[in-house]
Amino acid sequence: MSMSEKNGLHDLTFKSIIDALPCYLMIQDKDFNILFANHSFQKDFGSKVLGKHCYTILKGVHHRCPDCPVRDTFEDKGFHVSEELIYLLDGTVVEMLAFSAPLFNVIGDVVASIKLLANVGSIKNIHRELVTLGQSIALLSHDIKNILEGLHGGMYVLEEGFNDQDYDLSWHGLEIVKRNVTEITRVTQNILDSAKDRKPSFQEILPADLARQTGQLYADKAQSMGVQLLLQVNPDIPALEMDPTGISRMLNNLVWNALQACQKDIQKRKHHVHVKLDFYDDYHFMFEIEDNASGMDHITQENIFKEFYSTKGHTGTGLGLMVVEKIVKNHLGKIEVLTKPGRGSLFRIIFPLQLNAFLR
Amino acid sequence: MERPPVNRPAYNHILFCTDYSEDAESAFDHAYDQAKKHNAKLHIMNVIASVNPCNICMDQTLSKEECQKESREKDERRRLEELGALKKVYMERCQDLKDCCFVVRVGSPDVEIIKYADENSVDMIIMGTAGRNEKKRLIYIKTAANVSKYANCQVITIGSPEEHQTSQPTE
Repeated sequence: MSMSEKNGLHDLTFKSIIDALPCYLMIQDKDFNILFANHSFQKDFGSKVLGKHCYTILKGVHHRCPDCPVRDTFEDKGFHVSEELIYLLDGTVVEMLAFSAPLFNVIGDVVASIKLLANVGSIKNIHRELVTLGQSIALLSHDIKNILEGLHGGMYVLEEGFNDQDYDLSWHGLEIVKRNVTEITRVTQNILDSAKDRKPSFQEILPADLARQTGQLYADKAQSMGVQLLLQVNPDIPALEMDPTGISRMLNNLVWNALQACQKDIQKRKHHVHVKLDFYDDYHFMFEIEDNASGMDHITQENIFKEFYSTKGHTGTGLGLMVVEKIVKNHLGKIEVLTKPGRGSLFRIIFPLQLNAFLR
Repeated sequence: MERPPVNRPAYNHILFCTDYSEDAESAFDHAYDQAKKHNAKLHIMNVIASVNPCNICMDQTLSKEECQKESREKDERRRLEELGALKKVYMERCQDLKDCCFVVRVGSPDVEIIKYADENSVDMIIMGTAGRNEKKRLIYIKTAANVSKYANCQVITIGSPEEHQTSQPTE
């Protein structure tokens, strides 16, 4: 008695094994017609798939796919792998890994290609979560770096106050240190939050308050860098439902970038950063952060919102503007950039005034 | 004695930005003269100061898809109306120029003008000092100031003569 007979497997055929495979298996000819499809395949795509083109069945299109492992297999008689998006009959889209291998005739020509499709959607999701986790850690490090700059500034003012026995100045320095300690507490809280999927918390707030807070946070820093920080706020802009932490982070990043750009620019003697909050039109308001630093060239302008792109060398993580873009997207806003090498840059962030209704 | 030839920069593309305002009207004459003088192509551009830059519909009774369709259609209608009226007026006036085209864009005027100038290697931008939208406070950005600051070519802004007269000090 053979092993298979002993286990009750003697009536299994190759066809029944292939049909039972928990993945799609099909055989195709040179013209991408389906010659054979296993049971799993026919269960999800219907029984009338034989003789039809694979791209019609799997993608719902009437043209060949630009990257096709089957075509490659016919061309080089080799084994190929690719990632594909497959459109199921019920409308769901699944990410699948496609393997193709050649089937030879007796004289060694490829007569057909066997293609196997395995669902990798769940693995892809885990991969995405890991990438998000990595990104959030990088983002938080960026935040901490900004706060440390603030602490350095505060400590400098505090020290100067002690040296000159100017208690008002020391007191001022202490205030800056306190503010930054509060910030670092907030960031630590963020780290704890980010272990879960942190959603922005929306609450009603005056945009003018956020602009003023940013102005206050960077006033001393700007002074120590020799940059004039101008704040122009239209107080008529009504209170809106926004994520105050997000918007502050956005403004802080933009102002900090502008200040650093001014510090780096040696062409001009006087630098200023202009923070403006005003209406854009009847339905929108805008923040404008403008500097007269060295501006950006075309390549930089195209890349600024890409993660890890930085012109600041070891002092920048290339994440600041990516965070800005993400926050703006969360608030259904739009970013516009005007810049010219040697002249400066203007970042305009436009938000709808009736944000409340859309975010609920 | 013969004078040495002067190396004048070549102006092949001149961009004139208009929004029907008086300032733009006075700027047109200048743009026309410049295009004629340099035998350049005159690009006439109108930016519809974006009604909805964030692409959100203000009518909350509509669904998201309806909203998008509605705002798209509104934009489209407005664009076509303005295009038709403006194009007719300006094309008639530019008949004896070498080449001329009419463009309409939707968005923030300063951003769109600079983008168009860069894409079409424009050598000179001519526009009114204050547009209709700015004067009526329909849009709060300073178009002419931003264009002159950030454009990568020459920019000439022209105010309307009437305004110039009224702004002169009276004794």
